[in-house]
Amino acid sequence: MGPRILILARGYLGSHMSAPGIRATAQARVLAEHVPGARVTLAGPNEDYEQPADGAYRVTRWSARNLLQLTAAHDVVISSMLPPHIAIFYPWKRYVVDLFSQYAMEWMEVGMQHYEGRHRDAWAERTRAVLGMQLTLADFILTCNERQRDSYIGMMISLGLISPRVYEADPTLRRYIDSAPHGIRPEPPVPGKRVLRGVRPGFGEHDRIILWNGGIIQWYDPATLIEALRLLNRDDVKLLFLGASYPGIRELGKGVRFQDAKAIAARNGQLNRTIFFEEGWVSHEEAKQYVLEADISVCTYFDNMETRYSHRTRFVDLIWGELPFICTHGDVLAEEVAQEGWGLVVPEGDAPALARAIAKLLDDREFYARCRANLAAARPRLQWSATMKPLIRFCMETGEPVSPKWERLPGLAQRLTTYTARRAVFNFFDRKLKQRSERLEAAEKKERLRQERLARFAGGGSAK
Amino acid sequence: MKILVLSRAAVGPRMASPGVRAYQLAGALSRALPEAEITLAIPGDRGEVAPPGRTVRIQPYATNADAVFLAGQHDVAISRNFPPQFIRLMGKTRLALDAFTPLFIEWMELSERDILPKWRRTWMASNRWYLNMQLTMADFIFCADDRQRDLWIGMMMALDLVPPSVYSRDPSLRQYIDVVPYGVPSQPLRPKGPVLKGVVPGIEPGDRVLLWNGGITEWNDTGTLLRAMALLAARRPEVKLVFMGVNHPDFAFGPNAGVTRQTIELAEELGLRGRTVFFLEGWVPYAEIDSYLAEADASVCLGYENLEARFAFRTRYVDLFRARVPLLCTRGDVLAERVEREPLGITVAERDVEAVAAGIERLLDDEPFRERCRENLGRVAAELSWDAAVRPLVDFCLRDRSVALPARQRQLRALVRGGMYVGLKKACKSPPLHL
Repeated sequence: MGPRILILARGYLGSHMSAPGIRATAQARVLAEHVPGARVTLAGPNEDYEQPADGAYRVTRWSARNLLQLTAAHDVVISSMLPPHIAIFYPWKRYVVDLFSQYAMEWMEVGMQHYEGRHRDAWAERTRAVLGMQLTLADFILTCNERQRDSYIGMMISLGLISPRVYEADPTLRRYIDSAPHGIRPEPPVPGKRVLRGVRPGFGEHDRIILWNGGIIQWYDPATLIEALRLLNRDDVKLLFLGASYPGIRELGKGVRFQDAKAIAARNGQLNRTIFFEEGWVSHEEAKQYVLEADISVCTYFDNMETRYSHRTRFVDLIWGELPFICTHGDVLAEEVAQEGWGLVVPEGDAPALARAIAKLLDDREFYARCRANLAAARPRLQWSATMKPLIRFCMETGEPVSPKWERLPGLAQRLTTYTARRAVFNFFDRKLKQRSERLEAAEKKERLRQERLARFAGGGSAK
Repeated sequence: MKILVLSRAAVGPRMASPGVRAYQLAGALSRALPEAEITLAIPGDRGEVAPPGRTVRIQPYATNADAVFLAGQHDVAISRNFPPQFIRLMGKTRLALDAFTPLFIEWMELSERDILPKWRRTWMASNRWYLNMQLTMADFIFCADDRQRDLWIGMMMALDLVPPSVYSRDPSLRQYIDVVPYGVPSQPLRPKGPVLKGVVPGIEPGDRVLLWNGGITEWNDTGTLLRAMALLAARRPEVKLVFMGVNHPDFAFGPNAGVTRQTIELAEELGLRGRTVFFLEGWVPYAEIDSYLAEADASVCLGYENLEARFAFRTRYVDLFRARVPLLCTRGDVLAERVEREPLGITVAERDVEAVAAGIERLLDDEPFRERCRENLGRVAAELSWDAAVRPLVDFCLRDRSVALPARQRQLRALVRGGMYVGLKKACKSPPLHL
């Protein structure tokens, strides 16, 4: 009998999935198909889930109430953030933490945008506590690329997780922490019905379309792209920003960068002429059509720590759709873009260079065709079944994990306490912030009512 | 400005990579900052050595107390590791940590040899706190490549050394931790005449020499190489393998004696010693390396594809770049990737005897390939000059402000971490096994 596997998705599951949901769903399928005898349950936070058509795995909803029951009924639990208390109640289960981002850096950027002063420090402390706890909890850790893995190994060294016993059991550490990149969609890229040209207002039959494939989060730099298009000054080149609000994640989405981008485009007179914003979130299924209809894709960001460790999942769909793209220097996939010839890489914040790159990719037919061929060649190694091999291997293993559970126990106890404390501190600041904004809102509302009433009286007075 | 380069390893006529690095860093700094007063502090007295630059003063020191006293009289202190006494200098002397080896993983390998099994956990825990203390003390950290940098950054994140205030000052963190590769001296090769061919008994003038350019350590796989040599001995008797360093200068009694002895024993067992495999006694003086490099037809270095390799920067390859000696090495480390990509030679999988033998033959016989490798080696050597490599360190010396947290805020934490180190080290009762 094979293992009973539970995947706890922290993101929305269903047609409007973003990367975390997509990854969890792909893992469920791959494990169901490749681990002999496995019974896989995929649990998401939302209620409007759907069962897979072929019944390869079961989908359900998890909540604080049924979490322990779910855990009890499975042998392996996989999640990007394990709820810590399940490990206290069921310490003997096998836990996999799927850290597909370098959260310390990603959340640092998020914190920079949303919090200030001691609130921000508390947020960073909480992030560190969460990561320390997750790494200590895990029997097996997945990352999205080798660079993330290197930095997590550093964290694990400092946390005392790499003991002589661990090193002896596996001197490569691949059985403890390994990288499993985001895979591409399994289905072939077949164009379906049109969504842009001749359908969406502003997109003509012969327009060249640039797609910004995803949302505009804090760490992206749409301003450089907008400036590059202004420099390019071509009316037939249309840019669409796809996706603004993130489903289910409060901190991401329509933030400062999005508003700024829109304001700049409006100021340049490009808004809704050559630059368009999709205000909602295009579903995972619909997104395909946009990718297949676009000519090229561009994504610009900053060459900082967040970029260094990131694995931009939005590029994965471009590889699937064989859509050549331009991106900023600094991350792992940008290196691959340059090495494998999937498109062009530009330095950060360099609008003239970006304008030149766009012109080259749109106009140099031969280069464009070569990029497409290179993208097609990458297809086999980016299948989910290929990228998730380390996870399949772990699920098929039995016996003691590389890092013995008893060795981690003291650290775990300490880190659970730290986490609880850090969370309490952060929540305290959060509550204070909320109270303050509620007070402000109430005051504003009162003021508004007063103004309205004043206006009514003044208006009434003049009517008489 | 007064800069102290504190070498923790032997600097003298005979030196290994850490000593060479301190020596060359001092030289490169003196060229980049001609008005700075630079002191190169070296442990003990290991014989006369010419200063690496005109403005460099060489100062021997005997104890850690001496080192602290010296550092206190300088504005910047650069070292591979700072003893705990340096905590009180934090905020006075700016400390730059040379993290060019992933020490934790090397120590992990060494612990197997040096420490009784039941004390290994304690010993490694003390080392972990030692590194935690080092990172906490440093105002600037530099390592040999980006992969090591990722590892150190991970540790720094876990130690809360990169809070939002630090990140907002420098979101690339390059002003806090950057890369100073192991450089290549810019002067051309100056051989002083034959040292191997026709000199060492058993190596004829017409032979082809394979150089093992350095010591034999725990993470080297000499067994595979010797077995490959045994395969070659019959069909290619003119291929001679020379182990260049047997007694490492940093360890008077040779803690590597174990692996070195095993290698020698295996060579004897296979009947190769003195026939196609040679061991040079002692350690080749730094000034004479050129003569050996000039005679080498190719070089070999084998290891394992493990965590040690992943984060290693094989300093011994750097000399080969300068001498344009193509090399055969095991995959898994950063430079091996470079060797494969450029190419600078041939890479093989770990423990693959057949591939090593075939690789050696190709490396010696395939003339067009050799020529291509030699061209690429010259290019890479030019790129890796010490003067270019040292740039981030020079920038740090010139910056008056550090991106790291203020020293005051780190001092207490460094003290706690240093305390953990000292306590655990005292608790570890294992006798050093290699003596």
